[in-house]
Amino acid sequence: MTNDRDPRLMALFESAAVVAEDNEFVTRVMADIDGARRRTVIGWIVAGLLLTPLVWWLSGPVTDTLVVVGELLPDSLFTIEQEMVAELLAPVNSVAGVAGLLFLGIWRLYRKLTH
Amino acid sequence: MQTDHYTGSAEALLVGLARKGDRDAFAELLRRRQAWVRTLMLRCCNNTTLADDLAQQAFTQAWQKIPQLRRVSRFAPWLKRLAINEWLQHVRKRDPLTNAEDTDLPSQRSDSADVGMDLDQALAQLKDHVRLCIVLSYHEGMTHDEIADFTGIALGTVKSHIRRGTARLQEILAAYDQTSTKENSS
Repeated sequence: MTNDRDPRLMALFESAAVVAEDNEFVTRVMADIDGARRRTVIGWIVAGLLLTPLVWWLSGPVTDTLVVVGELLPDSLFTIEQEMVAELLAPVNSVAGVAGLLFLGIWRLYRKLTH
Repeated sequence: MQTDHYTGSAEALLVGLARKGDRDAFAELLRRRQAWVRTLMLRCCNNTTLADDLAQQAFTQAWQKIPQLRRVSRFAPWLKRLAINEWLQHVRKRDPLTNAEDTDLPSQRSDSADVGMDLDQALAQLKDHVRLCIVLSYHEGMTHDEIADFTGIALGTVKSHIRRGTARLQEILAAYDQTSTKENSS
C-alpha cells in the first residue's frame, strides 16, 4: 500500500469539527504551570532548610580536608636535582599536575562518549 | 490571559522567548496551538474531557522541556510528539477492560460537534494503535514513513494498521449511510 488515502475518508476528516479556541483552557494550563513553578520553589526552599544543619555539621571536616588537600597539591612527586629540569617539569611533577591531567583525561573521555 | 503584546509575533520568535523562560510568550503559543492539540487528542480518544486533560499535560510538559528544544522551527512537530506521548502513556496505563468507558456517549457531545461526531465515534471503534496511525495519516497528513518514525511502530505494522483501519472505517461509514438513508426515507 502506498501513502494514498481514501478520498471519502479524507473529505470526512477535512469536514470534521475542530475544537474551538477557549481562553479558559489557556488560563487553566497557565495556572497549572504557575502552580508547578511555585511547588518547585517551595521544594527548593524546604530542601535548603533541611540541608542547612547538614552543611553546618559537615563544614568543619570539609574545611579541614580542603586545607590538607591545599597543602598537598604543590608537593613535588619526584626530587629532580637539576634546577632547570625541575622548573620545566614543575607543572606535571606535582599532585596538582597529576590531578589536572587526570581531570583532563576524564573530561576528554566523557566528551568522546557523549558526542 | 493578557498576551496582547505578542499577538502577531512570529512563532519562531515566541518559541525563542519561551525557551528563555518568557511566560507570556509561551501563553501566546498556547493560545495559538491549543485548538490544534485539543482536536488531535479528541480524534485519538473521542472524549472531550480526557482530550483536554491530555492536551493540558502536553502543554505543561512543553513548558518544562522547551529549553531543551534545539530548533525553534520544529516546535509544532515537537509539541505533537509530546501530545501523542501523553496519549500513549494514558493508553498504557489504562485497564483494557475499561477501554469503552473512555469515550463520550453521543448525548454528551455539544450540538456544535455534530459534524465530527460520526467520524469520532467511528474512530473510537478502532484499536488504539490503529486509530493513532489513521489519525496521523488522515488528520495530520503524515506519510507512513513519518508515522513509523514518529511513533516507533514498525513501517510494515503502520501500513497494515492504516489498511485495516481504512477498511474498518469504510465499513462503519457505509453502515451509517445505510441507516441514515432508511431513516430519511421512512
